[in-house]
Amino acid sequence: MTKNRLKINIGPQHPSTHGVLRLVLELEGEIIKSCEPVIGYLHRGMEKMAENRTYLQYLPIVDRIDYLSGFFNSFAYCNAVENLAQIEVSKRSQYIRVLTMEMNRLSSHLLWLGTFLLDMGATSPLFYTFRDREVILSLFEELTGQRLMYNYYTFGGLRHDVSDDWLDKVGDFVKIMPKKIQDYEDIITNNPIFTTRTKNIGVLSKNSTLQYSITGPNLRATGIRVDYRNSKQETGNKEHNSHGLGYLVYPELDFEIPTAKTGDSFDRYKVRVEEMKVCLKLISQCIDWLKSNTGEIISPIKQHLLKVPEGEFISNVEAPRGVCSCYVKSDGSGNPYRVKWRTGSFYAVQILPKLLENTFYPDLMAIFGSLDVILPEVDR
Amino acid sequence: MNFEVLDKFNVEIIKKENSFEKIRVESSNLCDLLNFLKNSAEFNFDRLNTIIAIDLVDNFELIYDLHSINTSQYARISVIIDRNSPKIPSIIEIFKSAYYDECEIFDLFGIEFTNNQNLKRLFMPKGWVGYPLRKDYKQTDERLSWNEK
Repeated sequence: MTKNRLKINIGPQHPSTHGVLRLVLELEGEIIKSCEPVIGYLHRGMEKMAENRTYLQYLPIVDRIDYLSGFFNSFAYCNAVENLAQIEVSKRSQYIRVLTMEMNRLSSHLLWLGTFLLDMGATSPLFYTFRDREVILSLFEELTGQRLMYNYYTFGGLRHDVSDDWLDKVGDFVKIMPKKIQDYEDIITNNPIFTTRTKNIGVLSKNSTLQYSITGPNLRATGIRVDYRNSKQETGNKEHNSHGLGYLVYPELDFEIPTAKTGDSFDRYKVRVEEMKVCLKLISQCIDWLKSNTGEIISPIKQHLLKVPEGEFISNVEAPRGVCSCYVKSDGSGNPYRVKWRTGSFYAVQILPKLLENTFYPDLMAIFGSLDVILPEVDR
Repeated sequence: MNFEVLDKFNVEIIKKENSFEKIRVESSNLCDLLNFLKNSAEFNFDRLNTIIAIDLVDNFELIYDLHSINTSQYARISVIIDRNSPKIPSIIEIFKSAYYDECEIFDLFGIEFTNNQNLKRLFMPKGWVGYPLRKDYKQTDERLSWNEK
């Protein structure tokens, strides 16, 4: 270490790191010369836990991997087990899964938007976004009995059906939400303080996103149009489905995949705001379908006696923070032999040393916040 | 996919019931195979999704999950490692994202990646004894004291 370099710690407890992350920085004046993330403070042994529990007993735990988007983890695990045990999922269950997951994505992006702006010193957007997020969480509470850890999906279906009354409430929310998003854009997008702090800050190139396996909105902000949901509009190529892209009923729904060009912090903000609008579009399509169609949602299989035939499966889900993969290997008994989680934030933390090199210290939060890292998902 | 061109790497295509297709390769040919799959125009697997380690009691299996952005295809490369001397060449030169994956596997399985200079424990505390995700792991909460680390 040269003479005029200063070594400082950010974290583990720091209001701006969402969770417990420690960054060891080397500063030369105000310029960050090197950064070393230290993770593991939230390691709970999620993968080991699976090995001494039955398939059903492990199901409530997976919601805790990323507590802001529990439905996605739940779905990734259920999808893997359903594929291994060859359990059919009814069309109505699939639509309700898409509906709840898109609402979850919206609530997750709303929380990100509020805290990202808070990190950069803007206090009021936090109150606005939390107000709207609260509406979604209340709807989830009414449906599942929980605000964050839902435990709503089961193997082959759902715990219970949605009521028409509940769907009406979601419909009302979808009607007022576009105006709220427009309000955010009015106060944020053209705000000179926000744009000067985020434009051309933390630029990710196409090549480095692929090298570092960055996925989700962070990847799409660089201009690569990859989304594992795979809408019919985007590809028009039937071959894709045979390779695993396009799960649930997403290929039947009509939506576009927003992208940006430069891959800086501002573009990552822009892609997420556009994604919120896409969520609303998907939610209203699901409500229309659910109101005009009925069907069975509770699976006839005995959940607690579930024995999964020998085999292995990887399910990939487009979660709010990138691709969430769940690998399940079964040896034919009632417990999973091995479960492995791959989450988007894990790789977003890994790219921090490269992204932060030779940037200004005050930009640290503008870069780190824009990546939308959540630490329980990193440590598992 | 047409895997015949991969014959020069001594690969074996494994397709079991209720499982995905795996390309089994010797650990000595792993880096060459990944380099080929990444750079050839036909395959173009440009993103390493993750590395999965499995304890098969007699030996370890590593599965490299490759994705292609252009063709939306997957390829799963499988390598079997001897349990008594768990060593495999590192692939961080080919995919930089593998660094954390390799540290995680080193931490939880005790598999050593040669050429990976900064291999460290990622999740468990420094001086932790044993590798938690091995099947024969007994939890003792044992740690090395500060002067043994």
